[in-house]
Amino acid sequence: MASLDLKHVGKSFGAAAVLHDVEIEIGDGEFVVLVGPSGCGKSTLLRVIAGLEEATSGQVLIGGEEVNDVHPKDRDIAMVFQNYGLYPHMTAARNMGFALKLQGTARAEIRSKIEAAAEILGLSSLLDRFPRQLSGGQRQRVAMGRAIVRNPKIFLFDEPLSNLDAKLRVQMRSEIRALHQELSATTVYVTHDQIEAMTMADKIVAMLDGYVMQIGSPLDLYDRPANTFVASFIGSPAMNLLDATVVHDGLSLPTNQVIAVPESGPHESHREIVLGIRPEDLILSDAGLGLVVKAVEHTGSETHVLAGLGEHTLTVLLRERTSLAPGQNIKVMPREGRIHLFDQQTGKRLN
Amino acid sequence: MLVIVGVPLALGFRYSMHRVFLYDFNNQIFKGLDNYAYALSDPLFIKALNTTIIFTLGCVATGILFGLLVAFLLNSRKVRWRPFWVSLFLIPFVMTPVVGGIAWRFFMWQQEFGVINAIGGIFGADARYWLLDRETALFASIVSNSWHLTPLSILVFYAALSTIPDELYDASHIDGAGPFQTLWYVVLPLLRPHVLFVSVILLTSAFREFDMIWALTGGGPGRSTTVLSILAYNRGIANQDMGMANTIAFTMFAIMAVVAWIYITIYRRMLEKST
Amino acid sequence: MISPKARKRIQVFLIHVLLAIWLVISVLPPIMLLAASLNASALFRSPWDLLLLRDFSIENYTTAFVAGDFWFFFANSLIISTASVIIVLVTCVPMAYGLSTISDRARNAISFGILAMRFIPYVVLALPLFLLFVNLGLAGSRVGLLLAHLAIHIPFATWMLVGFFDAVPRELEESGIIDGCNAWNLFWDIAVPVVRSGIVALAILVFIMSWNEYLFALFLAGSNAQPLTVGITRFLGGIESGAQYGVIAAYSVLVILPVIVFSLVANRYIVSGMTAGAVKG
Ligand SMILES: Nc1ncnc2c1ncn2[C@@H]1O[C@H](COP(=O)(O)OP(=O)(O)OP(=O)(O)O)[C@@H](O)[C@H]1O
Ligand SMILES: [Mg+2]
Repeated sequence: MASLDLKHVGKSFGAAAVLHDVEIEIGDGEFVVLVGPSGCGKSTLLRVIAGLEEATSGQVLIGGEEVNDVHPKDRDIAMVFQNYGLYPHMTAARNMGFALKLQGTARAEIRSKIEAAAEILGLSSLLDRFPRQLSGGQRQRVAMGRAIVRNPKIFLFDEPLSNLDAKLRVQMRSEIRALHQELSATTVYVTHDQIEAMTMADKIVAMLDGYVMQIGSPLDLYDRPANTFVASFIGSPAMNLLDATVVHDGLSLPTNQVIAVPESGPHESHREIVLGIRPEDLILSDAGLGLVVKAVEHTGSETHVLAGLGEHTLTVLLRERTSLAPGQNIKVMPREGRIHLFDQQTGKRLN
Repeated sequence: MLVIVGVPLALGFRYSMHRVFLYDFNNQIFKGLDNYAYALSDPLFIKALNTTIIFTLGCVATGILFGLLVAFLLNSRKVRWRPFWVSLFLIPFVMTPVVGGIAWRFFMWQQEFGVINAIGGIFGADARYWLLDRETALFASIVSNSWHLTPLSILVFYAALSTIPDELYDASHIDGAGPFQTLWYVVLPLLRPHVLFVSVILLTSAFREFDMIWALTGGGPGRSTTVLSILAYNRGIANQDMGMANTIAFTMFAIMAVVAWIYITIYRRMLEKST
Repeated sequence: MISPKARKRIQVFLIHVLLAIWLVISVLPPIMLLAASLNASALFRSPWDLLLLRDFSIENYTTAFVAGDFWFFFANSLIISTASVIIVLVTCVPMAYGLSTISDRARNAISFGILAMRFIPYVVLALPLFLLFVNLGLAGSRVGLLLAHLAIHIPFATWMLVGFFDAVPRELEESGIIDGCNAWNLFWDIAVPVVRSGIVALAILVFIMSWNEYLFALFLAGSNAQPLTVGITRFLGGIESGAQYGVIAAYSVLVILPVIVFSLVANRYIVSGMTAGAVKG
């Protein structure tokens, strides 16, 4: 177990810069999720931490010591790959014990460590099978077992659940969490699935195009997104974002309707900003923004109303069933204190 | 297809049990297995069999070894111009073996101005009569023929290596394996079926090789490079003894049948293991 | 201490050096032929002199054409190789397609047989064919030689093509059926275009194999059907060996020119043909 610090880490492949000045502090035993859209550099960052790629600039510190020039095997880390990276010609047990065997660990000790890990993961009866004889979820578990037996300081996961079906994914999600609780090793977990990030993380690092956009607890990111990217990326259905202009008594929307501004907002008149409201923070009322219902979607537990405001479409999330039909006019109000304001140029949070 | 291969086989088998001379073709006498018994007790045949085995194993070993080596080099990360290397490494394989033999004989092994002795000279080695010396002629033939066959093994291994996902290399890196351990524990086991395939192809083609050796040495000096194909040719055409020639050829056929059977058995077993 | 980065760079450099060494080994024999063919007198010169073209001349080529009766042998080689390719394609493509559609069990038996044929040493076929052709009056004819080539090509080609056809996804054929294809359409409009590059690869390999063939020609070509491979060895025997190394080299270059050009232009196909079936066995 150890802390993990990234200081001004940059990485480029030739001329293409993939990571820019990444600065992350991860405490001992923390579960950190790196999240962001495809191609934003999550895997690259993870591989820099693992030592599979060299950082072009900056420092990687494990337990306070710089490891930039340390070989992956000496960094005391374990990694679970997206496609599991299991050796197809080795049984589950041999896959799990390979690292120990290379270290020259005694055979009996390897065996007992494998069995202990298999016990935790429910793999005991599958140890003599080859990867191709295992289901996706079982392979995933073997890959985790391979990480566990090494008892590393840091666990790295690169989208380990993306090859599983939806149901299994939910199940493995909680198993990985439970495992983390049990081993309480520092963990860095990469995903592009914001629900995985929200449900699993102690701390989320949101990334875009190689930049860290925000670091914080899941609810921090949800309640106070630092910029429009995080605002739209975290949360499903996504936050409604509308261009607006500051006027003397509030915000003027594209349809010239005006709504009131919270105290802390910007007051310079004519400033161009972006207004963000989460779908569940819009409530039906008798006065407020006039919208035209375009479509109604039922998930069973919730109802999503897609409604037009001029040429924009807003999503309104209702907890109860409704008899609204397309074409109907409705009025909605933002919930008190739940408005997000961003700068139109920089996308940064204003309130 | 059956006719085109079956008829000569049947005829050949018949001839192999008869006394058949070209100058006396119409007077064929049935000898049964006597021809085979005679062949097996003929020191020339035994010597040719020995030579063939050494030649074949030499070519297989060299082909596999260098094939693996070059394929690994070609597949290493950061290698540039891969299509360029591949297209030129192919040349020894497509080059007409008879001409390959001529090129090696006159310009590589040649004692006075051949490349081998010229390079050896730089390092202070004595010039040798490679192809005219009983001690070295077989070795030289093996080298030349391996040169012709190795591209096949390079290409098969290279194709196989490029299907191994990067993730496996990463995983073994993280598991703490050095380059040689990765090779030994991860890569070579994955290449096992390809090694089997290549060794069988190399084995069959080296075993029946005629062109290259014929052009290099014609089977000499003495009989030091007379492999079974050449012995059969000499018996049949030079000695006009077609019965004996067919007997020799059919012995080769029998040996290959055994090899084929072994190969298919191993291959089946490997298939079973992998399902 | 050198930094890990520098070490990596040295490593990459060394890999390229080793590849370059292998490259030299691969192309040196043909390069030597080319160099020697372009020197007036190739005898008693060091390889370096030859490579530097100290005594440049193209006279060897004129000699080779005339004295070596080049065009006669060339015509035989070309006819036999081209005919091999055409016949192999016409017979093997439909046959392999048929094989790949019939039941597994029958197919396994047949492809086993075909595989077994590939183990037959050529001399086993050449000897009886020689006697057979003498009896049938086919000795020394191109047809006879062509038949012998086909005995080798057809099993090889069928085996390779079955592999290609097997790899055509079933869904393609099924969607063809739904779109109203008859058996001919399924074969000609769906399966064949999908495996086209495989067929091209095969055609090139068959051409090269026929062009390079020597053993059958030696037994069966008589004096009328001799291809270039026989031409060059006869030429070799006919000259006072040694004195005319340059001419031999020139002749050699002419013989290998077509296959070398093929391999440079179409190496992608050749490689795919050579590695096909590597895993399938
Ligand atoms: N070896 C490489 N050489 C050049 N560019 C690379 C290399 N590896 C990654 N990249 C580039 O770096 C960027 C980030 O890649 P990375 O794999 O880290 O994305 P990611 O966030 O993991 O995406 P995904 O969710 O799709 O896995 C991409 O634009 C990619 O094209
Ligand atoms: Mg990734």
